[in-house]
Amino acid sequence: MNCNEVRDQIGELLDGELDEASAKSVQEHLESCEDCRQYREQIVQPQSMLRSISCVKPPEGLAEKIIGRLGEDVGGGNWIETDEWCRRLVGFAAAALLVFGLLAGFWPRRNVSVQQISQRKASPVKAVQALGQNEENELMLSLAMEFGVELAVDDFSSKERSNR
Amino acid sequence: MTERRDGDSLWKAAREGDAGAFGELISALHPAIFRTVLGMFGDYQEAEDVTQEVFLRVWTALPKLKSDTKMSAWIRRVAINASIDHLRRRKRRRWWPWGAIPMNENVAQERISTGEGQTEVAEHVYSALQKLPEHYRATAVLREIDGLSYEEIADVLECSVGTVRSRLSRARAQLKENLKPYFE
Repeated sequence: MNCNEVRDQIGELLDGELDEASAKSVQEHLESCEDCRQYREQIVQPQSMLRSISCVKPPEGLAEKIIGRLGEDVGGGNWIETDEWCRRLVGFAAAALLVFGLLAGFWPRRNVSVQQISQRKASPVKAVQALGQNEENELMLSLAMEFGVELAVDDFSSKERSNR
Repeated sequence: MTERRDGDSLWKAAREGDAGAFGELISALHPAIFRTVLGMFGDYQEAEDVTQEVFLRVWTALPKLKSDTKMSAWIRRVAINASIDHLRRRKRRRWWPWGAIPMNENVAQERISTGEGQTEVAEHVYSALQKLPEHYRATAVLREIDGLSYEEIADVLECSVGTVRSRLSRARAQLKENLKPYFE
């Protein structure tokens, strides 16, 4: 048995989980190996520290608190999971808003070129003229809504008249 | 033997929906479950919350359990799984600006509560345990704090005794390193 094999089994020896033959071999090795004896001591110290916390007491009234919560929470999910679901929901909503905002920003509103938009700003009537007749009515409305341009009824009428 | 029979009959009644019997089980078992959970993440306050969650999970799952389930192993498994779930949620929460919990090593050590019964030694131990991978930690907690045999640990963690041996050996080697500063 070499040192690595012995060190792997020291814990089991301390726990009484080794069979008799293996325990004997490990013991014999330990008697002749100073390094492995030191290793055993280093294992024993944390082990005894861990065992020292096995007597920690729960908070006062914990059992009563649990019993009290049984009626409130069973069947309706538990509070930790509810909290987690709220967080997820807010996260999904924020992500959906972000995606929607990005899509809305890049989505082509109409087939209106930059040049046409600038024309709209300068002269709504010219912009209308630059487009096909079918889009005319829709564009007149959108100009008014998007740019706050005041369109006189006369302008629209004169366009109608020029088409005729 | 009498105690064990009492325990079995309480579990049987609780499975049939007897809340009084389950209340008795809570009174008897909550200290051990609390210690297991506390060993898993070392925070007294959070251990209290998760212990409550464990018993709620158990009560909800009881009617669906197979009749041959080993109850003592099963309830500890629920405790370990609830602790691991809670740890993962805590890690994820780091990314939420409104729920961020600082988790660098020093702050994590500060978060180990000094609840009643905890000493400076206990704080070092819990801190050392936190540095172990989850499955090593669970194995070490079940062995050293709960005092379970290798076979019982294998039942709880649903793995072989050989796996328990190797995890425990590695956990102890790492604990030795993690606690070295304390002994120097």
